[in-house]
Amino acid sequence: MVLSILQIAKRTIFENLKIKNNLIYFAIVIIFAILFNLGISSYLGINEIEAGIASNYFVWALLISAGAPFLIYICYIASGSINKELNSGTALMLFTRPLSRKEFIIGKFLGILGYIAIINAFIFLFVPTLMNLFFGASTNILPIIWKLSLVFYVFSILFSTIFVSISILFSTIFKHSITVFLIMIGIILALYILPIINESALQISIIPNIVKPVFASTVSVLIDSGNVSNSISFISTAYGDVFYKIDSGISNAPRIIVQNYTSSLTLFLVITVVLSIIILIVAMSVFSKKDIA
Amino acid sequence: MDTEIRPSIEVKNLTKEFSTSRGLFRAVDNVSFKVSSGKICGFVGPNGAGKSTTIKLLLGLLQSTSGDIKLNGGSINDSEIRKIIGYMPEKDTFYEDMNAKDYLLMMASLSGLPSNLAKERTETLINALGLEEAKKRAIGRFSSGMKKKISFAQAIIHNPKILILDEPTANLDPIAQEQLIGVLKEMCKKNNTTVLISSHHIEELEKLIDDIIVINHGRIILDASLNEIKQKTSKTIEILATNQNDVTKILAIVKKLGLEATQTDSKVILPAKQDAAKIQKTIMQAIVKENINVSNMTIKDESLWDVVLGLLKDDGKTIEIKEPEKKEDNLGGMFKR
Repeated sequence: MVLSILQIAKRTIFENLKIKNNLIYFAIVIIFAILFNLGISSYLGINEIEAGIASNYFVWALLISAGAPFLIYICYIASGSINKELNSGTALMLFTRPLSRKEFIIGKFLGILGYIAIINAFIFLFVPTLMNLFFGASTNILPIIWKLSLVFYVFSILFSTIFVSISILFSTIFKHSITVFLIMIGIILALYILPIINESALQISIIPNIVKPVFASTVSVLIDSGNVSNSISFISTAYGDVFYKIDSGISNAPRIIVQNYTSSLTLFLVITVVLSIIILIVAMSVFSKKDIA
Repeated sequence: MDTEIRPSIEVKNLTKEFSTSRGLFRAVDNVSFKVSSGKICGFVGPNGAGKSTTIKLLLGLLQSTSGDIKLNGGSINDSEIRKIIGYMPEKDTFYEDMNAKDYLLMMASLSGLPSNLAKERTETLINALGLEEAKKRAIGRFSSGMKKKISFAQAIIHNPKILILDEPTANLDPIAQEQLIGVLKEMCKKNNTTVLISSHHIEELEKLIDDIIVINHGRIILDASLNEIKQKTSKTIEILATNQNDVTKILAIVKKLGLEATQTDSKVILPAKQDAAKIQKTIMQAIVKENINVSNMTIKDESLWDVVLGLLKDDGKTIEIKEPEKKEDNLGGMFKR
């Protein structure tokens, strides 16, 4: 069972790594990062950047990790995960083997997460280095950036699980991936982008309050150059913020401090995992009754 | 059909209905059949007869409306049963970005073969099917014939006990057809594999199969062994005369022998059963004796194609099955003057 799941996951990872759209995704992310960097740099002034108060490096990372381009891209990838295999007939070959439909869905899910882990690893390593080369900030803040990147890297994978699982569910229901993708765009707009633009939009959402932070998490960059030493929050919900603070002012050894305000990181993780599992179980149930013609 | 041997494939009262805009469409209608262990069974019918639907029901890809399917005594939903099934679909459906070797390794692994055995089987099949040079090439760049070979290879890579082939030799050149049939025959002989082959090429099937099932309008209209069919099929003697005068003379000879004949232009056709050769010889002697000009004289067997065609015509379906080239037991040259 495990071997079959791993085979499907491996195939999914390689299949996605080969697609040329990865390059488009990278290009969008880099353009976003450069524009954001230029904006932040002009707003803060180069001195503050060099002091490591709001490094352009991790602003970039924040955007790609929890930003809309990232979500849209993973939904694009996941929206064709099941229906494309059914339409092309490749699923037909797989299901004549001792591979259950449950194993197939789990393999696909893990494969997409694996793919996200790989491309984001590349981005989180590559981009800060690239930015350092082009924008040339002080090298003593690089360790902070690496640590922040690591935390954010893990978070980006966790954050994507819910969107991947929803995409997979719709991919088992709808024949065309474009339908699934448009639905996912709608979900991202309604539950992610709209609440960021207008907090009141979240109040009328039918999503239970405990679940809302999972969808409404967004990027915010809190630049505090006052008495508090260098601090940055990067996960913000419409209810309150889950702050990750970088404290590098007291000693030269940077530390990452997670401060819990209205929702804790643990709660966020639990909700994400539980929701993803529930959605995948529904997807398996739908898929198990489906004719493969 | 031989019922003494335990059936590998057993289908009872199988029905599949699809919902359409016009209501329910019954693609498979109360179908029952058995394929005994180690037998090669042809599964024949015109397009839309229900062949592919029945195969997909056998493989568990479609959920049946009613009925029961047993493969080697078990259910297709049992993963142990799936391990002994091989399937080659009509259409080539691959991960086209994968190379042939990786694809076969993946399919072998999914079939439960251990890594070393998967590698060994992959190499063996690549060599047996003449794909050595292309094994590292992406399948998407293969010709249709090469894709067909890969499709066949993935179906047999785990030495399945039950093999289901859907149009296995379509798009293959004669040499590749022979190659594929050779590998199939060898495997069946070695492993006592039960094979169900769906094909439109009846002449080609005739060389391979032990049994035949004909399906039309979702119903089985023939389920018999090839031997049974051969015993029941008739022969005809066709005599081609050179002019109308000779035709009249030949008809008189035939009448004198107490046989009935029909005439089409300058051709005289008379039905014969197992004694066709004897009748032919008698007529031949009479023709020589009376100095009649005959350009051709042949004994024709009613082929499997003729049997299937007749059945389908009786069942009210226009045929879309590919007609084979007629082969004749030709003695014509002897009588030319």
